[in-house]
Amino acid sequence: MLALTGQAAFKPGETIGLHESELQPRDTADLSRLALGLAHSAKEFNKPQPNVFEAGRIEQQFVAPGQNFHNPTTTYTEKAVNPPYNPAEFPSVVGFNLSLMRKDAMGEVLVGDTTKPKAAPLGDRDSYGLAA
Amino acid sequence: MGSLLKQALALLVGDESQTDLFKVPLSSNRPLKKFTERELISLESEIGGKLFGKVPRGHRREFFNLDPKTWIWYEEYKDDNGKKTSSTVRYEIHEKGIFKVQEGARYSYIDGQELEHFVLATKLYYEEVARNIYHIDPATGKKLV
Repeated sequence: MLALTGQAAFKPGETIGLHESELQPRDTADLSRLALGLAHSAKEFNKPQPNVFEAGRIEQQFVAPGQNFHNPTTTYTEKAVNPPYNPAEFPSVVGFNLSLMRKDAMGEVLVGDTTKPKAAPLGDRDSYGLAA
Repeated sequence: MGSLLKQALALLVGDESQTDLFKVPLSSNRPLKKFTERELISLESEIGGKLFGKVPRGHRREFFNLDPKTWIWYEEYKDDNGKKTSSTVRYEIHEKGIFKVQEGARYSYIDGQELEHFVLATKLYYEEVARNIYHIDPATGKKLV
């Protein structure tokens, strides 16, 4: 997919496809301008951009198949996202644990947890230790 | 126990002193059982809102875990004109990352510093909530003595 903004579509450290001889500056001023330009591009690339549909980042974003929030006339497909995190490592585990703690605090017996008192049907005197 | 119920049980059992046998024993290690899930989440949110530093005067901030796959950030305040303003951000746990949903049809997977902050905040939330509300050791899941 082409970058939608015209912004240079390369990443830091990536070859940009020009032969070394083509980059020979004619004088020191050219060299300075080239260095400044490259530094600016790298800085812009690394700058946090909270608006996900800002220019140059749309390729990294999730867009549901058949939908495109940037340009309704074009259809994009779902693309992989940059290395977010290790899903096995955390957040869903934390959320799961919190839900279990809430259920326990509300008095429900956790599945498979034999250390908690089990709810007994009304009238079952044995469960309350009242058996004769 | 109401007197009418006592009388009814006395009629059934014959001896009023034995009505205690029908009481369901309360578990002493579940002091929070009277709360609903919504109330528990409110308690958690009081902790969650303070994880990000001092809440500015006139602001109301909430941050809580709604369910295993959803976290909510809510901020409410009055703007310079005294108009009440609020914003809600929903963070969804997807297999590919943390999906951020904002008002105005803005959607994104978070990354960089925002992702780091989110992960840190949820871990802190879990630590604080486990210890201070549920009195559970967050590392072992065992009850704190």
